[in-house]
Amino acid sequence: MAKTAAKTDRRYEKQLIARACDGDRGAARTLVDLHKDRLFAFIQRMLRNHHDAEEICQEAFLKAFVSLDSFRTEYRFSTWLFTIGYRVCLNHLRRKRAVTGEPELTENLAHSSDATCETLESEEAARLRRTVWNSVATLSEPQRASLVLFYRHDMGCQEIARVLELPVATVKSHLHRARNRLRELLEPVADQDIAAFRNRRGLAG
Amino acid sequence: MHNTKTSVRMNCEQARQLFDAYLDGELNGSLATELGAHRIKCSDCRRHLALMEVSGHIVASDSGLNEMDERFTDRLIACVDEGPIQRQSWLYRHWRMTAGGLAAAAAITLVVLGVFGQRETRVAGEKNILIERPRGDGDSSPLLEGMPSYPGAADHDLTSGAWIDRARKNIETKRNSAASLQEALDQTANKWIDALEAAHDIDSIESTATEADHAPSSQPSQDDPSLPKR
Repeated sequence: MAKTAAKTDRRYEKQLIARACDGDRGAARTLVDLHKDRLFAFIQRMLRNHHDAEEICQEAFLKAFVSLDSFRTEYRFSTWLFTIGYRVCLNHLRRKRAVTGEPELTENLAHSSDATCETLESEEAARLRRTVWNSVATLSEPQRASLVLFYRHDMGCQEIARVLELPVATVKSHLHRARNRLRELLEPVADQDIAAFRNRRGLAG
Repeated sequence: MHNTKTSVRMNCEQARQLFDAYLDGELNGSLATELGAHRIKCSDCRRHLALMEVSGHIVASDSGLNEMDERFTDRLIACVDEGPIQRQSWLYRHWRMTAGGLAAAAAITLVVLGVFGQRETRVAGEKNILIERPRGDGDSSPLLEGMPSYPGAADHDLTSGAWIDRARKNIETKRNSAASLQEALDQTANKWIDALEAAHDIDSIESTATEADHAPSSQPSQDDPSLPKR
């Protein structure tokens, strides 16, 4: 059943792409609406800056539409779009580094995202969440991308490898390092914080 | 009964090597069970894995990001629509550059013609060739002559047709001036050519003479002591 739905989705997506290639603005609009939120979330986590993220997201979509003819339909459109988005992100970060040195955490998304969660969660859970996102921000770009794509966007290592244009083994290595890095940075957090969070989320331990 | 699985107990190092496969969902049943058993017994590994699981869960449930601008799609589609417009403007820019170049060339030509028309020009060798300036009736431009002056031009009556007649007449005068100027230019060019040809002839005569002087000729030299002096 799920496979049939996925096939229908893929077929619909192919139709949309074909129509967008023919200049159908409605189809292009539908494609944007289908993928913009996921791509924007990914780019936000990569750049840690809301305004930059919107600009880069737009640039990624524009690049995708310019080279829509070259899209190979055996891949998922989202994978291709994320590949473009990731490349644009890397270029942006390189440019920023060249100008200002290390990119500064001007807008800490971990804090802004916790603003709503803190009211719903306990203080411990909020602190844990903040610690995790601050730790994610310290990861290298491929590590951060691997982690976010794996957990947030439900991509397997194969698909992440396509997005990041890296071998699967390298992606696994990035994931391994990212997890260990997060664990190391989380170690100082009190055991009771984790226990509180796990109880709230209903995770077995 | 001896069981190999229980006899070879998983240690912490072995367990930790499986953590990534477990978290990636790639661990098969028996190994997952072994890992689970070790996890129950070992508090260090339990904590280790719990930290990884929790951090993964927090990343997965990332819901507090800033929202996208509602008009994002509209702006994006507008940018996509700008594609052909940008191409048009590119063509327009090139057309403008070409047109600008042509206009500049035309302006330079006019200036050159004006210089030739209004100034006495010295040309070609020792001769001064004067080009007569095609003169209008006054210092002012012939085209402007007779045009209504502002403010309060009493004779500014576009409906009468008199102004148009005057303008037409002035244009005719200008055209005649241009024709005479062209004629003068042709004459100048011809004179240039004549002068250059004449100069070339003189040069060639002189060079021939010089060659004749220096060349060991069959003619006897005047300095030849064997010859009787004149």
